[in-house]
Amino acid sequence: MVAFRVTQLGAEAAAGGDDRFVELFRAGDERALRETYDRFGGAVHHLAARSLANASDADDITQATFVAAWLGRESFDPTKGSMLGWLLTIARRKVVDHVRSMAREHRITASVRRVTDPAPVDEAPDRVVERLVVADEMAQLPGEQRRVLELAFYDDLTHIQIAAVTGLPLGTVKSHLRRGMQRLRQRWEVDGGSRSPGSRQAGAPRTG
Amino acid sequence: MDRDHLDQDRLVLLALGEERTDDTEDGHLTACGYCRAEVEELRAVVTVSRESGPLRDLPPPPEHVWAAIAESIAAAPANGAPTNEAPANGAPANVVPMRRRRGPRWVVPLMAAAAAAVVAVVGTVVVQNALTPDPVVQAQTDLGPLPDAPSCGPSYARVLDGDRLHVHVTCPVPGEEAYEVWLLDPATAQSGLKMVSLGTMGGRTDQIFPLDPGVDLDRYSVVDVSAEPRDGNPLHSGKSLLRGTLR
Repeated sequence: MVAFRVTQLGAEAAAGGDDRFVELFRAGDERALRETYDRFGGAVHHLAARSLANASDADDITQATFVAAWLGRESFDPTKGSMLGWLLTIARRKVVDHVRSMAREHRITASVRRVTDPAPVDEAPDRVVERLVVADEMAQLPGEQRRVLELAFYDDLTHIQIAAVTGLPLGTVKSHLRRGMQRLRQRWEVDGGSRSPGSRQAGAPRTG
Repeated sequence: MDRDHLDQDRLVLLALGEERTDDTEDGHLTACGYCRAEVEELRAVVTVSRESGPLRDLPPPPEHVWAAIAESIAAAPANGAPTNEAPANGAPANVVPMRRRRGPRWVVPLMAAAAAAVVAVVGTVVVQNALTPDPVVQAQTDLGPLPDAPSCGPSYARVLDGDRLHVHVTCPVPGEEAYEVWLLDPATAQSGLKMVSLGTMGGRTDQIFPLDPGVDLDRYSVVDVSAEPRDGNPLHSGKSLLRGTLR
């Protein structure tokens, strides 16, 4: 359950947009840290939980991530990507450190570690990051546009069915699909890590 | 009809998989690398978007995680000096792992009074492991709003390790006033309320106050948060916002 908060920060953020909120964060305003945690704590925790076997380790990773983000807040460059992308990068590094420290604790050599890896990963962390940033972007889409995309992605409706269900003209539906996908694609390119399209050589089509 | 490229709307529908290409489009896609790449990338966007469906409403982490974060930063240096913790996000994906300092694995921050040894979290913060204990919560209370309180969110206080009080207050940011935390002795309510001031929240949602060992928490069992004007008057303003009894 997300804690209910009425704060001036929330109002400032709504008025000035995310820029103001990031500014406050970088300036060391602790309310902005709490806001960051409220917005992205769930995503960080999800990534940690998917990467490690132990649930309480995910709690530790989440804590370490936000503390590290706070201590290193001046290194966040909002022109390079979103705060969520940055936090997830930190989280992934914490996961790696944790796995390594577990191995050291148990004095396991590198060759044996593969067999006794304490972190049974059920999905590649890269992919989890990609999903989280796309989910975040979906949440930020204008309501009607998001609704159209949700019907297409999750209910598998055709654009004609979407028009029928929503009452929107076909042209509007197609326009929402096109623009919404463009936004998701851009966000994915910027924040998606090494496997996202933007980081590959230009002109090389994705294979497989 | 001859076009340079397929219509973007059409490419989106193809990527969604709801349409099949006709012969003309097949021909174009065979010949046109740009359109082929577009469809491939759009398909990839669709795939990752579908996979992200379950992630739309993630639950927040357990509340104790926030408490632990608040404690850690309370003991950290005030300025956000760049550290190895969070390299600039322009860095490439495969980053060299952080140097790790020798020393305690997890530095549990202690807000000790006066000259006690405060362990500052500087630079490396490593993941807590099972070897180091969490602070022991000896007593706690929700802080409920009093009738004149502004709309505050969930607030609470916890006694940690017997020597400090962690107070979490989610009230609107005060303007000219400060939020001050008190311990009240409820048995003295009729005869002249005895109270101890712990200090102010300093504009933060979380604050950790050292507890003077001379203050008996069985007597001073009520935590009170008040709005105090900045008038130099140390007495309680009488404007209590939140209150709870430690158990």
